[in-house]
Amino acid sequence: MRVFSVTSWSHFAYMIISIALLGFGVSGTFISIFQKKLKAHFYSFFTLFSLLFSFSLYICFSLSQKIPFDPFLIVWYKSQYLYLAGYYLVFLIPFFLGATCIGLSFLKFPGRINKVYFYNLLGSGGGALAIILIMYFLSLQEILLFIVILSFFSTILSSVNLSIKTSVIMGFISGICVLFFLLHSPELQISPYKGLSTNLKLPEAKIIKEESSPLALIDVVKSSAIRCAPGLSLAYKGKIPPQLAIFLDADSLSPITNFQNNISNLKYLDYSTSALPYHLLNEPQVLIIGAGGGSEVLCALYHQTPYIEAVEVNPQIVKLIKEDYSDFSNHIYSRPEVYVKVAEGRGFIESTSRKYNLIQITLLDSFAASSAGVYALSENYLYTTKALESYIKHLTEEGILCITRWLKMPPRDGIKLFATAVESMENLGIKDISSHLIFMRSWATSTLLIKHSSFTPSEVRIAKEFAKKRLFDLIWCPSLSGKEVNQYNILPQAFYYEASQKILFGDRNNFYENHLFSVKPATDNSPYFFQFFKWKSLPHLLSTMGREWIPFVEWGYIILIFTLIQAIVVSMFLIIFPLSFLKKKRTFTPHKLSIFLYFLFLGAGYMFIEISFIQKFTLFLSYPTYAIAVVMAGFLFFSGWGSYFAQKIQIGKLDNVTLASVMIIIISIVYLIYLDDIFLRFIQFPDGVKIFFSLSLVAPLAFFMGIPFPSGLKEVSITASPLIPWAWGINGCASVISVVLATVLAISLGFNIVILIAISLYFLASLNFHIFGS
Amino acid sequence: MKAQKNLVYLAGIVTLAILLCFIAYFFAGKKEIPEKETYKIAREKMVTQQIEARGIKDKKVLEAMRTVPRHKFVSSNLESFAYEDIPLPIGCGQTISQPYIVALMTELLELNKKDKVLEVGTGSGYQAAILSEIITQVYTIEIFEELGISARDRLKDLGYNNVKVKIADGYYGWPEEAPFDAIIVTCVSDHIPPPLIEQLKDGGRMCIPLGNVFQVQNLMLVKKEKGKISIKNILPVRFVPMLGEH
Repeated sequence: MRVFSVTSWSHFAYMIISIALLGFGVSGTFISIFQKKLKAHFYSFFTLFSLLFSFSLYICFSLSQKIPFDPFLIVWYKSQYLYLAGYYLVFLIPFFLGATCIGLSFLKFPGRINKVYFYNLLGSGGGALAIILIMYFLSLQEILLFIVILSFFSTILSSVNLSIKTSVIMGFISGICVLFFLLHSPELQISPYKGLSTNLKLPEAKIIKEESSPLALIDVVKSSAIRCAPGLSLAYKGKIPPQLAIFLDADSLSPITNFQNNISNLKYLDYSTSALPYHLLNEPQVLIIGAGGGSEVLCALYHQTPYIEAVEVNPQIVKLIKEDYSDFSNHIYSRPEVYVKVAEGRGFIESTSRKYNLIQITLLDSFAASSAGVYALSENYLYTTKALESYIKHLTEEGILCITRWLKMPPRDGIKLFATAVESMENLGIKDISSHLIFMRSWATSTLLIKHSSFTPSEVRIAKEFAKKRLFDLIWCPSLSGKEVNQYNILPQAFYYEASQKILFGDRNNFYENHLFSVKPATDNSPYFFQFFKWKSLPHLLSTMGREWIPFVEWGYIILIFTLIQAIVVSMFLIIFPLSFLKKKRTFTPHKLSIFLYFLFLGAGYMFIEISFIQKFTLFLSYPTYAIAVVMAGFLFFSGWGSYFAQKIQIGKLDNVTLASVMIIIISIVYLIYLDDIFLRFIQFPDGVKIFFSLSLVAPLAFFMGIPFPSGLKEVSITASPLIPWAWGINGCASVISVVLATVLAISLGFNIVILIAISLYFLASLNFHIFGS
Repeated sequence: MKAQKNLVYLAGIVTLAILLCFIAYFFAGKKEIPEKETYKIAREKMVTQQIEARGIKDKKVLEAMRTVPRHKFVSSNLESFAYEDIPLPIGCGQTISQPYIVALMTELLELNKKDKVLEVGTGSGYQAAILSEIITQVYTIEIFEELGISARDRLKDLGYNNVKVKIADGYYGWPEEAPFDAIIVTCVSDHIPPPLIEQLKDGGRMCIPLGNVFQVQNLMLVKKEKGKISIKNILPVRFVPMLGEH
């Protein structure tokens, strides 16, 4: 996933999850067909597959970097589909080989399935947590090598069961391979259309610093041609000081500016839309969310702000500015008026009790990625209605919230932000909302100002003068007439003004319904601010914009649907095919359908709950990467223990699967009702405490979720043991589909509904267990 | 058994017939339409179907688009795509714009024969070649050395002698030759370079694309009149932002 995020764009990471689980599904099919031979020579095959797995990790990774697949070209060139298929195939191989080793163990030791499953989950949970730590110390290529060595080690261990001679040979082969891989480290093939690639072609451009972390791969690039001033006014006639470019995951440029300790060199920052609040406030206390390389901090310094709190999610960026490029940045993060906080913006605002005169939310994403819908599948808790409510609550009486976004055509991003602001203020019971808003656009950016109290006529006058001097257009401000809009950056129609009128004074729901894109505000339950795609609009978009344009408007969602379709088709094929094959061999039980449904419901239910809780904990733990690691590791680890104790849990006549299902349903409902309140009470605690607390919350649910799968397999091993790999495959395939389906459902229905569906699936699974269970 | 044998013979005859037809068609096609003619037809089709049909009316632009051999500005493996309605990669993470965008940007400049035009972002040189068909002198700057050298050679080979290529940072424009009647920026930037605005003649026009590197979402047309600057947002794609209201 990290490799995909660096070499192309993060929405393709979904494909990797899907490919991984597909590998498990294919292994189930494979073992089903060849189970007799595989079982007879278990240790030989186990060692062989383990060895091939170790090889394939390196070979397939290297091969994948040779495939000239580029998502940007997929619409134009059919050959890209072939390359994409190549990607699938190459990545499928290691997952298939690894999963076959696990599946073989289930087949060989049906009596000890719960223990095998326990060890498997224990390793997976440990791995999920360990990889986050390792990412701080090793590069992506080094991590690959580390995993290869670990895998070769397991190959040697498994070969001990064959003979000492075999172990020695395996050890020798492993040694040679590791040495070879060490000397030939594969290079990442970053898309030439990503910011880092194009900037490296600039005169004298070179990477002067590279750092890896679980949050992002950071590259600092030096070149005389680097200049970053998004949406700079055309009225600005001066220069831009020398800059270094920080790239996150080879994209999303954030500049470090060398203003030579001369504040007047920062004049250009006063010619951006986000500078407006400094003209309305006198010596404000400022909170900047998304400080990055420090552009907004510099803007605040230019306006002689006495107190600046700069919140940056990535500790390595802060370190770069504070230490490595302290001189170049003129020590901005060490100045007495600047207080740097390493935290995620939403988490920080929820945990602080301080009030500010100005809260600035900066441009956090690159225009290219943002406009192409790359973030459509990324949950974002910065722009939800609840988030805006929190920001407003943290403003002083005269305080202003200022949010800047890219100006996109066709209009969608700014409009959604405006709608979110209006609904948030309604939720807070603010009256006469239109008098609290100023909305402005340049030719490239739009900035929304939300004031806790109404804007005064003199403030409105200042805003109008500010806009006029810089050739910016006002979209909305109190007393704005239709004649004053669309004057400098002329659009064919005053789209933004018309939209703001409809949101403020018209039939808002009708507007949401009829707009070409989804502009209804995002909520914490469905935090997809960047999801603008609407099925209803597809025929219209196709007829007006043409096939080639769509991906550049809403690429991310289309990729998700494409992944879902392929997952369903391939998964169904993998389930139905072995079933028909096994039929010929006259298998065993009249309850195939209930076995099928049981493992299908379990696979889907488990993933639905896991993915929904990852999202819920993201808000609590602040960092999405930590949330994924902690929740995933927690689920795997405690499910492992559930599996270990599966056979020992029974109350009276209640079997363990029914008991587990009842507990899963009860705990999920309790969490659904109380989790948000619990989070609010604990959000101010230190990270370590929050991680411990999160694991404690995950533990009981995950423990019971670990019981049904091995118990079901054990039951199948008694009544129809050749169906074990098939059941394992069904579970894998259901998981493939559910990972993607959970996101599709969450986008339209929200995560609470996804959890309710998961609860129903566990209920249905327990009913099926009673049909085929003894 | 006999029926099966007949079936095999029949299949053989049909296969042979198809093969002969294919060979005949292939050679006949080759003989009738030479390569140059093929591209000329493709170019004509490109102009009528992709450019005129979308509302480009300037005769000088249409003629230039008919004349410049676009296939010479892409790598040989992409020649067959040269007249398709798509942008094509040219290396260095850059592209040659879709024909319609080239025509639209050129038309927006409202060029006269004697106009002095600066292009920022030479790329393959195709846009410069189109301009050179319309005006007397074209100045073009390319920041990527690799692209600049190959574009200079290509333009020279094709006889576009009225194009001056400079390998430099286009951000600063070409002050020695300034002011310009028109400036065309073919690379994407997060801001419009102030030096370019300064080098624009009063009454001049500048066209800049906004979008990502592989596709233009909208074009900015900057006009300088009596020292005042205005920007018009040109949407190369027709769209209506509301459903059910059109």
